[in-house]
Amino acid sequence: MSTLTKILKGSYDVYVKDATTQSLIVIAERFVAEAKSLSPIDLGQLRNAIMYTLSKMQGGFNDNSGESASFEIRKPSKDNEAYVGFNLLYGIYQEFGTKTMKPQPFMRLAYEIIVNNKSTLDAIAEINRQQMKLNLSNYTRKESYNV
Amino acid sequence: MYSETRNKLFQQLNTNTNITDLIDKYESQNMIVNDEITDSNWSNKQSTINFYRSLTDDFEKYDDDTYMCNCRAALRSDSINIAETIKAELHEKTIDGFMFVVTFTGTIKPFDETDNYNTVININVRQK
Repeated sequence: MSTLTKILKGSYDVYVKDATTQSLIVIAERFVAEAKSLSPIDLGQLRNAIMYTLSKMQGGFNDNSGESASFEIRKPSKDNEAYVGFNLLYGIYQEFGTKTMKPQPFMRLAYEIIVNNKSTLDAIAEINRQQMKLNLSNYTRKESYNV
Repeated sequence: MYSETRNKLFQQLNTNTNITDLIDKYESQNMIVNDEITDSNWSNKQSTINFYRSLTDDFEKYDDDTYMCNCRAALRSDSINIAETIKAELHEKTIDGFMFVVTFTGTIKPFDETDNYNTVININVRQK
């Protein structure tokens, strides 16, 4: 394999593949952080239940003070997918309210903050683009040292 | 303006007979309210609608408001039926210069014996 091909293949891996996974983690982490900051808190179980999962990693679960949550959300089956949410029965009633209890939305608000008045795809694409730029600049710096 | 889109949505829900036929009445008024919760006098056995402006709105978009609409009923099928009727009557229709876009969120089962089934829909009202 020529040096140029190696560089091109290497740059594809870091530029596209790695950046996609990393940008998913960035989006999921931001989403979880916003949702936790907006969630109603009594004993803290709901805040501890909010988490994200990717096929090979997860975060946010039981990483705050207060009562611990018992159940995690399931993992996505595909590589380029991330789930953000909570596995707690009463959480949905906090989000949407009941007949007698007013809603206290936190997931919807967190989503809006992440999306920031753009379409969902545009918001994801922007974070992905930033991550690709960062990865490529790190990669080219590393390659230039090697040369 | 918020008040205009709210009034238009309330008027559409309250005057469309296909929708009001599915809603119960309290003191001869349709059980439709612009609030986050339903009236405390209304029973959880009755079919009701309550809608409120979504907190996730971009307040700069004065001609575009989104409302969360709770279609409540004692039976899951009734709750879904109300939501589907609203969608059939309003979705992608322009009435008096207001365009409605309806999207489903899902049906939530009752939390306890005082609650009822709630099918949540988003209604986006755009003023031309």
